[in-house]
Amino acid sequence: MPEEKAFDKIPLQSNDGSIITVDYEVAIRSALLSTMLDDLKSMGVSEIGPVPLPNVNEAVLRKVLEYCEYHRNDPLTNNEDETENRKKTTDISEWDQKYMQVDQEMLFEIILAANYMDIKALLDVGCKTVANMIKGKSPEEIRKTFNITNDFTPEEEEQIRRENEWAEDR
Amino acid sequence: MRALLHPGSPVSSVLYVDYLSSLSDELLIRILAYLSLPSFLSLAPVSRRFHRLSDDSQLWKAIYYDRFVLPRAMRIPGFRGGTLTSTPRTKDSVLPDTTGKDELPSPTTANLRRNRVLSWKQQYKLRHNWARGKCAVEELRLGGAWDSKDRLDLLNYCSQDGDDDNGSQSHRMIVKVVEGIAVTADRTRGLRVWELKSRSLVAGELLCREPKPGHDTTGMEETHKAPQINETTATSNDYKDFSLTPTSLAVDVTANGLGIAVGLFDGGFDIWQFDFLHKTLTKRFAHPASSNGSLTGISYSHPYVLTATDSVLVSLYVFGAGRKSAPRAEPGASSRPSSRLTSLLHPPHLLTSLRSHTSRPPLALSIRKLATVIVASIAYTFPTRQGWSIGIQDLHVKMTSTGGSASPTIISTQLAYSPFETSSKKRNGNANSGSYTSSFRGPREAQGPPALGSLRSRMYTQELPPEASFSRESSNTMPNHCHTEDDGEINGPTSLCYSHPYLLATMPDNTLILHLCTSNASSLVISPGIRLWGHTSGISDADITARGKAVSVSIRGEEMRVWELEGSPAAERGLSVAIRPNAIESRSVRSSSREEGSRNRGPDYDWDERRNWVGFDDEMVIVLKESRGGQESLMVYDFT
Repeated sequence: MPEEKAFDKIPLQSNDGSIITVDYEVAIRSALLSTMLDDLKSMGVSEIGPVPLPNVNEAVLRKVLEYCEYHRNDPLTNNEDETENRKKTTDISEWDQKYMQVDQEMLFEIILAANYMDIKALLDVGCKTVANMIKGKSPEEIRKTFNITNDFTPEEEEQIRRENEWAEDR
Repeated sequence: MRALLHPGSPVSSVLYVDYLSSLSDELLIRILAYLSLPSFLSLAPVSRRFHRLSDDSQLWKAIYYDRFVLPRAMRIPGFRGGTLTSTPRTKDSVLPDTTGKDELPSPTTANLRRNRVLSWKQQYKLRHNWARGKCAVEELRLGGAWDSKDRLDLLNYCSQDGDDDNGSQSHRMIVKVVEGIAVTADRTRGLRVWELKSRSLVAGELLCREPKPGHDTTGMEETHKAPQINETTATSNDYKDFSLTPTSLAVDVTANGLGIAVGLFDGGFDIWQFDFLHKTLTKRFAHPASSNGSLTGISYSHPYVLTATDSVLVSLYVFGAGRKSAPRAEPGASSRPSSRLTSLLHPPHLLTSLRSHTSRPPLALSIRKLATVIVASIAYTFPTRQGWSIGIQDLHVKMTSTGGSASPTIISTQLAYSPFETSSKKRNGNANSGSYTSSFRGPREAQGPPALGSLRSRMYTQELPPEASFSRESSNTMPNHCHTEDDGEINGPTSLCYSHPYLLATMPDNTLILHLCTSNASSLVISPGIRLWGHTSGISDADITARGKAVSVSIRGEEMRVWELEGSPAAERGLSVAIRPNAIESRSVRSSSREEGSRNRGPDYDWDERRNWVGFDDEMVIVLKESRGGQESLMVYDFT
């Protein structure tokens, strides 16, 4: 349809001012952009200026778009369906694993951006990656991994451990 | 719009920045949802925030579903792995304990009453503990709220007539557990109500028959002078003392209280009301003694009462049928609060009486209310030529309006019986038909098993039709006949419990037999029995709920098993879990439980302790323990 063709290139603007232009198929990986473009389409708008993404800086936006580019042909999943269907598996595809080999700052920036731009698949990969970092660790190891400050007194911590003892017997 | 709204994220790649905690709760919970239970729990002590998050009910709900719902849903034909999205309806219909996606399973009235709704975490823990048979044990001395002198009195009393058959039966205590409350009844201490969470006695009334009905003020006062009462009963042995011995007990849960029906040795029964709010017991009705024998079974679902005597005379009563008049003023009522005055009940209307010449104890009675009808069920055993069988008779009662006032009428009667439980290949219908003489006058003609003969009378005091009086006479001789009839007898079940659709029979050979009953307006079918193996010593009692959870307890020793019978294919039904009282938990409960826990596992375990009764609700199992001296106590197995 000619109308759809109107949006074959979408310019995106990061919060630090750079503009990255992507294909329509790449942009609609983001439900935020997809909804916005649908709205514009229904209003008969065919030309579009840079779309500001005030919560994402250039480095993160490029990283996020790298994901969208690679997964541009994946079937789009329905967001509503997904919530229940979310399997407890933390398996991550090989490419995604490589993609996620970033420092913690970038990892969490990706999660925040994926959340803001509503890119479900990327958000899931990010959460799984963090979950895998938690898995199998002791509370102390978890604190160390993420630099979390322990705000419990030793007594409180011991009490919480005891509270949860019942579940360890499986 | 080009405004820069970025809130200045951490720019430096400096170590020691807690990026994880900078995420919103929503995102963290998303991450936590990928964790399995152990990692999930190791996150709790990390920090206050994670401790709070790890209590998140939605996460526990997911864990709950993964462990307890999904595995069972997977067994449903047509349910394909992982496609949970398309099946919320299936889940709900298959699992009666999950009423909606976001609702907690079984928010019992007890929990609502305590202003406490179990979170998904607590629910998970409860199921986990049930599944593992893990619980805290505590012994509740039934003399608990009384002084030690009183306990001594009981001991004296028990040892005096301990050898006397009549006596030992008479001091036997009976217990029911509903919604976190245990109701006990025995002769010396009367009717008592215990709150299980706090392990405390909340109300107690002596069972006494007043000279005038409704004048129970004396009973009230005597509660506080119980030791004296005990002394008199301990020294006198005349029959009168046994007449008010409770022989059966039924509890009906209502919105703000419990309706309690106590069947008595003399054939009468009492109706009591326990008020949740005021924690008071009020006697609402006392049915006079009857010559038909003691009431061995009773079921109560207001306004219906179903009773069975030891001679298998079954009666269905209904309170307040077709009446609207205000309660009469009772002589003793003036001194009581008005709420008690209005709680008095008129004598009930006898809907029907049924008797059987061949069926025999054990019986199990139940009343269940359906949308349009009330089903009163009598499960019973009857001898076949080479063994025995279990029968169920369902009476369907419907409110029909006659002349402006609605009155209940029995609209149909259904009958079903299990396949005969012997090796005999022969269907004994023919052989049996000659042995029972009672005729069956329900709208539906019975075949095969001996039906309980029906006799109708307008009021229980009125004279009975000729055939009825014949039945009454013969019934007095029937029990003897039954109990000596054939050798197959000894193989019959020792107890029955029926909670639709489950019918559970306790066998003398350390097994249980489970039948499933299917019932609708036109048919009643009992499935072939499924043997449940697991006990290694004699089973003294078992109880089952409509959700298919059963608890059985052995006569001696610490053997108690939990059976999850719902939903699983027949092959898996035989699985059970032996209950392991948890030392760690009981230690943290309170000091008395610590003693008890260690004592029970100790080498000096008292093998003369007999456990002969079990009852349970969602959270606890209660076992009535009777030790050598006649001392009875309730063992409370707390799974929370």
